[in-house]
Amino acid sequence: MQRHRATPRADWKQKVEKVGLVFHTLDGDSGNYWDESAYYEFTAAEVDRLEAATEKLQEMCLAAGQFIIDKNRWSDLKIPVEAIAQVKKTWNNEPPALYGRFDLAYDGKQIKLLEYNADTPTALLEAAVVQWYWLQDLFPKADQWNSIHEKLIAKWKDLKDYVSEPVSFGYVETVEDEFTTGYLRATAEQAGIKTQALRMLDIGFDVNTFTFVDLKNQPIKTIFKLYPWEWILKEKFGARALDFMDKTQWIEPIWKMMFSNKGLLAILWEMYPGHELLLPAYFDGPRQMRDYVRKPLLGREGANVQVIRNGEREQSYGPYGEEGFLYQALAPIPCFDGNYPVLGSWMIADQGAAGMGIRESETIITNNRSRFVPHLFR
Amino acid sequence: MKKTQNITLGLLAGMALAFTSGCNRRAERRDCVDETGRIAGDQNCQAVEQQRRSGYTGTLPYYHYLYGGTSGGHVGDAVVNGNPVPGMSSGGGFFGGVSRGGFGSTGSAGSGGSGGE
Repeated sequence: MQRHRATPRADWKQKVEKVGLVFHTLDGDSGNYWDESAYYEFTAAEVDRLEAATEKLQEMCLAAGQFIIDKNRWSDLKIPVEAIAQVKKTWNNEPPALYGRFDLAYDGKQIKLLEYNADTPTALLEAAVVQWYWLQDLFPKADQWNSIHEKLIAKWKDLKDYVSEPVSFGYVETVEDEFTTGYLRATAEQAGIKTQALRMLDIGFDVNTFTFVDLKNQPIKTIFKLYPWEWILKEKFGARALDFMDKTQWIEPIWKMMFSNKGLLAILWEMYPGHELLLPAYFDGPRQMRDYVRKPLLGREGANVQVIRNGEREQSYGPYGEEGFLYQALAPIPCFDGNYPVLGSWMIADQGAAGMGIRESETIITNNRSRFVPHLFR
Repeated sequence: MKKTQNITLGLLAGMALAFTSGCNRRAERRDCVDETGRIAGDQNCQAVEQQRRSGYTGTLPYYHYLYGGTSGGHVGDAVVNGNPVPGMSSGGGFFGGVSRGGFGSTGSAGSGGSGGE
């Protein structure tokens, strides 16, 4: 794994906008979100290792899901009591699921799981499309670990007979969420599935038929939502989502609450202590760890994270943490010229490990302002 | 580049308006009703809720609460124009039996608004 400096394409803004990435520049003078002034280079052997690690982690997480159910570890994960029955039911019935992103630390030697964003992962268009066109423009003879687009379309094709059209795509009005759901809609449409966009705020509940409805008051039978389950359950319609889950198919399904929770990391460590892909992780405190990270169980985008290193504390702020924390050993994230890369490894359901996107930060905590930097391998 | 900041402000303004108008309403009426929308008595809803919280996954009798609406107030009376979602029985969110706005508030008001990560 090497980091190279590069000269951005003269018209890079127009080029990335042309493929849908309008969110390429951070607010104010914070620089670029899409950053092609550098790129990462891997060997084919390294990509093979990362791909195999992703597949192994998915296998371990599936085992952990069954473990959580069998051992009733709901309170450790702070999954609400009223949601448990539907988590179990959807786990057993296997309704459609689409994707997830493992965040990995990789220093050229060790691969370690930082967390699994299995419910509402973003930075997808950048990984699937934008960096691919960057590669074609600048390094057409090199390769890239990236079959995300093809595998998403293949997955939607598999799902076509199991979803009801139009599939609604629920989103919050932020640029990032709009272009992520817009991109996912495009992949579904390419698979021959009719779709419609729907703000989460516009989802209706019909009190006569006890169904969720769209803006035409038509029943929503299948919805992809870029909206975390822990938010859904806390909101006014949350109880209805549980009560009438047999009428509306939710993608991702509610069992993903077990995976998108940082507590999964402690469960994995308990099941596979010392595994080479895992970092020590605990619910009850740092135990013997000297350098560690404290993460909110239901934290998002690097908020409310504490890093304890050499007795000093680095901290990010935000609204999370009321459900409790997870304590994880500090990962061996390499530093290149003051930049810390985290590898986002994409998993498309039933299609397998699909590709990689890299986010880079000037601190060890990756957050929603971390830059996306393209990659290639030779 | 799309100026979503304006959109967000518009949403927040709308939510603020709904919130302030709601503050002036008196406490909302709540009735436990059966599947036909007739008042059944609180103990039935409480029993169903207890079963659900205990993890029971079988079929439960369909008792649920309706908020707001009008009725004679006695067991067996029908509740007209009630809403199963608290806080939405009157005002702009409820039209022709469909209420909206029950999802999305965390994303609109939460950290940066994004539902993704």
